[in-house]
Amino acid sequence: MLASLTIAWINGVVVLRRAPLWVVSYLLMPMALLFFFRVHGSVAMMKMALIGGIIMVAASNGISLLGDAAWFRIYVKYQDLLVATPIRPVSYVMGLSLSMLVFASPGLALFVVLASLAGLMTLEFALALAACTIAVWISSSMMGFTISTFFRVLRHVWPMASILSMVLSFLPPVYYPATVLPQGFQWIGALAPTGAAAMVLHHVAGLVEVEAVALAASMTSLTAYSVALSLLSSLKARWREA
Amino acid sequence: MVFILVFKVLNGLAAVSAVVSKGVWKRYKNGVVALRGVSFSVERGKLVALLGRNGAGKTTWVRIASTQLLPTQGTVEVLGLDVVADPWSVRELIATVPQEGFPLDILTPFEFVYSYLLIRGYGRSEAKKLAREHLALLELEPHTKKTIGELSGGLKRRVLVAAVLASGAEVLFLDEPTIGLDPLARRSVWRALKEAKRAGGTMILTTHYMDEAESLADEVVIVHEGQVLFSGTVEGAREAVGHEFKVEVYGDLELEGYDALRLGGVTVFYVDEGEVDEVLKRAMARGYESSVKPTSLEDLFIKLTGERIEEGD
Repeated sequence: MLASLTIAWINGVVVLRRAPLWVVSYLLMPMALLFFFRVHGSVAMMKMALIGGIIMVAASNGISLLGDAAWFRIYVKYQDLLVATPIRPVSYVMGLSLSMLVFASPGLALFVVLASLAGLMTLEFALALAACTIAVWISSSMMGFTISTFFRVLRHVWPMASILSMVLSFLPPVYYPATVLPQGFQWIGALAPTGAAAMVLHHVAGLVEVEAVALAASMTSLTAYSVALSLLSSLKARWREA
Repeated sequence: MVFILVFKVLNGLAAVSAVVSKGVWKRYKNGVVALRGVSFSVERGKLVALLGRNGAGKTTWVRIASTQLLPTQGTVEVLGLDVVADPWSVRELIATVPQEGFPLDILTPFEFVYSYLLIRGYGRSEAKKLAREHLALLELEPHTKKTIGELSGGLKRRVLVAAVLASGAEVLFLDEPTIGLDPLARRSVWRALKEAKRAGGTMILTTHYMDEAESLADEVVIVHEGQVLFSGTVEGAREAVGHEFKVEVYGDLELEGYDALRLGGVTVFYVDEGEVDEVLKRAMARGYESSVKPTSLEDLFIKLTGERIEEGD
């Protein structure tokens, strides 16, 4: 556990302190969308943008583990340095994943404050928000780590992180209501953890009437993604090459 | 479980050889054969230099021995523990400076070494003490407040060496730890390695700097195209050359009664003390410039491979 916390410290807290511009960088898109929805949309759309912002910040930071893990393994050989130590691969992945959460925390805090000001923060919503954010963070960071293990050339990694971040944020019903999807097929939105989290939160906030099947699919999806991707990343975090 | 580990570690500590490599082969998935039956052993407390050109197989062997890569065939034991069968016990006892590795640029040298020690399981106060001591040993004190990103390549490499030496691991694998360092920085690393050796550490260092091997190593292992061509002491390596001196003649020259080796535009004659004058005079008589040097490890490398170690780097 100490090893994981140490990695979270060096790759999360220290980076946050020394390179705060990254926070501005990852907040640009969700804040721009919030502004756009506020100016051109209804109050409900603004609330949707606030929920979308939280999910996007958690997902984009989680998926950016792809870049960090690849950088550590391919370029600076930090993973090689750590292989010859008693640290377990799971602790390494957990530490990197925690560092992404630390890094996302200022953005998450900002959106939570804004959501409170917008009157979204009931006890029920706060609990659902905490659970969904954690599930999105776990799923996306573990997805990022797992995908990073397939890359051999660092240059190919950076665009992949951006592409995945956009796909996870805009393809599923994060910034639009699940009711846009064909009736009886809202569960499709739960195929991505971000869509699943958004459907739950939209429903709990009273913004969208999500179908019961889709709601059940969302909760199953969030749990399944979190567990399956954590297991997969532990398997892919090979300490030794064949 | 703890008892088994303690037993294994104690058993390993009692072993005479720190590292034993037996018939190690490595064939990569793309068909490249990097190692062809590499066998040698390293005694406890010794510093052994693995010498070879780029692509000789040094890094592949180090990665296998430090539990990062599986061999295709053969075994490596570290302090009596098999690196394939028992990697977790081995990892408790080793530390490695990876080839082309760099410390994390956003951290200060202190933060990097300190965090590495915390990850290895040291307590905070012990980790702080060791980090400070080893940064001082590597003469990095003036740079401790800068971030690593602000340091030169050589200083970055020294931070990595400081971290690995501070680990106090029984066996250290150092894969080209001084590559890219200027002569002064290299000597600073050498001093630190000598210090660690005096403290009883076993080290395996890969290098293609002959002076580094001659200055630091108790023994050398010459690796060429995945095979061990020589394994023994530095003195033994010099003796294996068979002559005390070499005369380098700048141009193509043949002298009756002397075997010549042509390397680029230079003809090299390996001679004993009594023959030096004669070869020099005969070369001069034909209008060639020449120089005399005592034979070194490089000459054994040339004798064994027919190539200079630096070529192609």
